[in-house]
Amino acid sequence: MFLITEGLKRAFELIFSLDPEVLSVVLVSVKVSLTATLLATVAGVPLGFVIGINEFRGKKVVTILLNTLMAIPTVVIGLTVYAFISRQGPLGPLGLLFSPSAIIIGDIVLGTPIITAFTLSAVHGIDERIHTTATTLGATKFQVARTVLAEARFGVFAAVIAGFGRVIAEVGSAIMLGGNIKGYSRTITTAIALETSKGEFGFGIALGIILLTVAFSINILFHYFQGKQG
Amino acid sequence: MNGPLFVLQRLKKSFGDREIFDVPYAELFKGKIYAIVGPNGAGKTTILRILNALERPTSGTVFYKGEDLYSSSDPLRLQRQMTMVMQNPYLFNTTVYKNVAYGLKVRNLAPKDTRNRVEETLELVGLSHIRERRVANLSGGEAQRVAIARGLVIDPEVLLLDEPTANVDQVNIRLIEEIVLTIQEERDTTIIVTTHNPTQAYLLADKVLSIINKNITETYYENIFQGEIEEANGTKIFKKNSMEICLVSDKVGRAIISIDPRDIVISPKPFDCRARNSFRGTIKEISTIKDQVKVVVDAGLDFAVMVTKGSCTEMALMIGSEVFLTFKASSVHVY
Repeated sequence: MFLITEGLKRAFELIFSLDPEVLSVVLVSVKVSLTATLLATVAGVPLGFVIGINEFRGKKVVTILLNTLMAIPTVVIGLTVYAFISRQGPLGPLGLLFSPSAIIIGDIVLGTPIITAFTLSAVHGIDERIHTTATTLGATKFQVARTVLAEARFGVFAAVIAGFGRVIAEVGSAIMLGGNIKGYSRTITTAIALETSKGEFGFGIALGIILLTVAFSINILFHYFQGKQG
Repeated sequence: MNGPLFVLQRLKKSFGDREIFDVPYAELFKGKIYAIVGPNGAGKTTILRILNALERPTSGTVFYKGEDLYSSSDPLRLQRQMTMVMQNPYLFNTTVYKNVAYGLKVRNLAPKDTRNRVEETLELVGLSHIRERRVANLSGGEAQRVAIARGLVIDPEVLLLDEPTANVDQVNIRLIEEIVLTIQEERDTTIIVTTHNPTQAYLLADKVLSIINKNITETYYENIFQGEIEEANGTKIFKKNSMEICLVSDKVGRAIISIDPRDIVISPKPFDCRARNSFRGTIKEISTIKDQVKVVVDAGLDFAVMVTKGSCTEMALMIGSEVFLTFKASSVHVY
C-alpha cells in the first residue's frame, strides 16, 4: 500500500513540476504516434474507401484479412519490421533500427489495418441514396466519391482516432524497434515498462496517468464521432 | 427543337424474372408537365431513373434530343441537363444553403452567382428564413422543398419529381403543387412527376400518362377494372362482381379494362340512346379538378365521371343523389 501511495505522490509531483524527463518521453510518444497515424491515414482511408464503395469478388476475403491484421500481436509486427530494417535486413543500409523512425514504421503497420477497416465499415454503412443524389445533381464520378467520403466523415474521423489510440498505447514493437533510448526513442509505454522494472514506481505511474488521460480523451472523441455518424 | 424531347423505343426493364416495363414506343415533349400515374410497385420510380440515366433498361433505349441516352460519348453533359428529386430525398449532412448550392458547386459556378441563384431558389420554395439551418432539424415537408430547390437551382431542362407529395402534410402538398406550376410557367421546364393520386395528376399535368400492364399509355388513370371477358351471343361481356360491361375486343378470359371518365355520360334520368352500357348508381364523391368536376358514382363498381362545372350545376348533382351512367361499348379499352 505504501508503495502505491508513495508512487502516486511522486507521480503528481513529476506531472505538476513539468519534469523534463517526463516531458521528453511524452513528446517523443506524441510525435511518433501523430506521424504514424497521419501516414496510416493517408494509406488506410483511401484503401478502406475503395474497398467499401466497390463490389468485387473476394471482398469478403479482404475484409476478413483486414480484421485479422487488426488483431495481429504487436511483437509479431516488431519482429517482422526488425527483420527488414536490422543491419542484415533488406533495408539495413538505411540505419533505421533503434530510432523513432523505426517505431513509426511499426506503428504504420499496426495502424493502417485499423484505419482501413473502420473506414470500410463507415463507407459501407452509408446511405446508398448519396450516390444517386450526387449523380442526379450533375457530379462527376470523382465528385460523387468525394461527396460519399464527406458524408462518411464522422465515421472516418472515428477510424483515425481509433488508429491513434492503438498506436500511442503500443509497447511491444516500440521496444523492439526503438530500443528505448533515453531522450531519443523512449516513448510513454516503453518508459513505463523500464521504470517499473527498475522500481521507479512514481515515474511509471506519472506516465500511466498521462497515458490514461490520453486514452480517455480519445475514447470520448471516438464516441462523439461514432454517434454523429449514426 | 420541334421533335420530341424523349423517345422511348422498345424499352424493356426487368428485375430478375420480374418484368416491369415493356414499352414499344412513347414520346415526351419539351415544356410540358407530364404526370405518370400508377399504383405502388408499378415502376414509377424506375421509369424516372431510366429517363435520368441512373438505371439502364434491360433492352431497348431512350433517346434524349435525338441522342441515345446510354451510349452517348459525353453522358455527363446529358445528365447535367436534367435532375431527379427522389420521393424520400437524401439531404447532405450540412445546412439547407449548402444542400441547395451543391449542384452549382459541382458545376464550378462562381461563388457570387451561386449565392444569387441559391437565394433566389430558396425564395421560390419559401425557405429563405431557414437557409442556415442544419438539415437534421427540418420537417418532412421542408426537407422535400429543400430537395426540390436543390434540383431547381441548376435550372434543369427536365425536372423529374418522384412522388413529391407522398410523405408531406396537406399544407406542404399545396405549396409543392404551386411550386411545380410556377416553375413550368416561368421557366418552360419540362416536368415529369409521378404520383399514385389521379386527382393530383390531372391538377398538375398537361398530359397524364398511366402505367397499365407494363406499358405507358395516355389512358386516363381512372375506371380501371380487372375481371373476365366472356362471349355470349356474339357479344363480348366483361364481368366483375355482378357487373356486366359490353365491349368490343378479340380478347377472352382474364383482362384489365379502362373507361375514360370523359366518355361516360351522366344524367339524373335514364338516358335513351343506343349505347350498350347503362347503369344506375348513387353519387359517392364530388370534387373539382381545374375547370372540371369529378363525380364518383357507385353503380356496383365505382365509376369516375368528368363533367363541366356548368352541367354539374344544371343537373344539380349532389352526394347521395341517384344518377344514370351511359357509355358505348367502344369506349371500353382492353389490355
